[in-house]
Amino acid sequence: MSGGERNDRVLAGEYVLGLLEGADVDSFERRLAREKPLQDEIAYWRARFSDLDATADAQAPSADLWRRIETSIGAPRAAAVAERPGWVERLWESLGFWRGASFAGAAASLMLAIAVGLLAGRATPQPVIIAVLQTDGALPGAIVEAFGDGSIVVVPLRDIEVPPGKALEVWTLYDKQRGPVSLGLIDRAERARFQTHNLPAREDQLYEITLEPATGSPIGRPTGPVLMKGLASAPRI
Amino acid sequence: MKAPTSGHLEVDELATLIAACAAGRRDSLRALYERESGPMIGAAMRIVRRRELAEEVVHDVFVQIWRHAGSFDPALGRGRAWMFTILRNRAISILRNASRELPTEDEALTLAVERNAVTDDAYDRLGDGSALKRCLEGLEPKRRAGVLLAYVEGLSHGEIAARLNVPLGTAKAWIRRSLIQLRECLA
Repeated sequence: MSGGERNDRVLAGEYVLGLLEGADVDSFERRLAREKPLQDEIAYWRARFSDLDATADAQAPSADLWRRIETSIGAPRAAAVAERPGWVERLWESLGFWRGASFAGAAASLMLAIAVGLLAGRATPQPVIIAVLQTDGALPGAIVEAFGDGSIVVVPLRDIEVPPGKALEVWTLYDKQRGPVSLGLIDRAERARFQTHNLPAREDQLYEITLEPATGSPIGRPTGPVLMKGLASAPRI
Repeated sequence: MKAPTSGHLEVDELATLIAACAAGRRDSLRALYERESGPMIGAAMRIVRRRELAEEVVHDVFVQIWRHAGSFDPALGRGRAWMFTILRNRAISILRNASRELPTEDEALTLAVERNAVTDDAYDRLGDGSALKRCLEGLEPKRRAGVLLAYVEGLSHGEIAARLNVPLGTAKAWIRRSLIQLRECLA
């Protein structure tokens, strides 16, 4: 084993222990985004140390804890991933992911490796359907592309003012009986990707963006004004 | 007390429930909550010390599990390890973010922490079948304590040095060497 490999193993161990801080976390995570061996090393340490997770005394939760969780999860939503340069750093902060807490020093995360691993190395696929969402004034407002793997990319075409405490929620309607289904939230008008599971993406399916509370519509259906909407078409390639 | 399990051969039921969460099944999130909220509060308490903060951590964790269930990849680890990774990150964030000391109302817990009884206890409770336990046994006790203080109590290098009453550089070197030794032993 080379000194570099040994050093990486130790670094990965320190990362999982939560011992890397500040700039060390940033540089480690930049490498983690690209280097599969490091991702495997993280998974290795996580699995080994996880034996310790079960060694605490279980403590019964307060009676209202579940109700508070239910309130917070509000509308069903998927994770939005901003895809601008540096999104790795912002991923965890987007939509208040680590609300009220700094990222530094506490970023040890297998999840990051997973998210990064899923996005890295993906060939450029063709969308199954594309919808151009139009504003009230019939201006092009955003493009929605749905891919065969269930991912959906939303690209806003104009600035959208999002007041404090609000977010943009993306919806699709594929079945009138079922009603609109939330794809996820965006905290400002920027490119975002959502991962969906077994959600249809067909021609003439409606997509729309509404203004909702920052944690999403509390009732699972649009409550705020429709900012833009449009029907999907299959690209003629 | 919950018996530690390694159980790498059993079906990963939690992974199945997490996958169902990704598909929008709230009953599956509830099932995860029923099974893991108690152990999670216990584990969070070891880091943030205070009951209400531990519940805050667990609240945040279940919200994140719900929102990010789709990014869980069973190929990279078991469901439980994924959930507790989120838990430790969140708890450590809160701990690091608190510029003040986190006082605990529980004097017994404070004393236990000071005597490193929390980490000793965690170590003692590792199952006999645990490779981690076998390999930790091979470390000199103070060095073992350094690793455990980081994982179990979420302490930083500086805090570990203070707790073990050694210079910062020594604490860092001990942990690095312990990790090398553990890696060789665990293989």
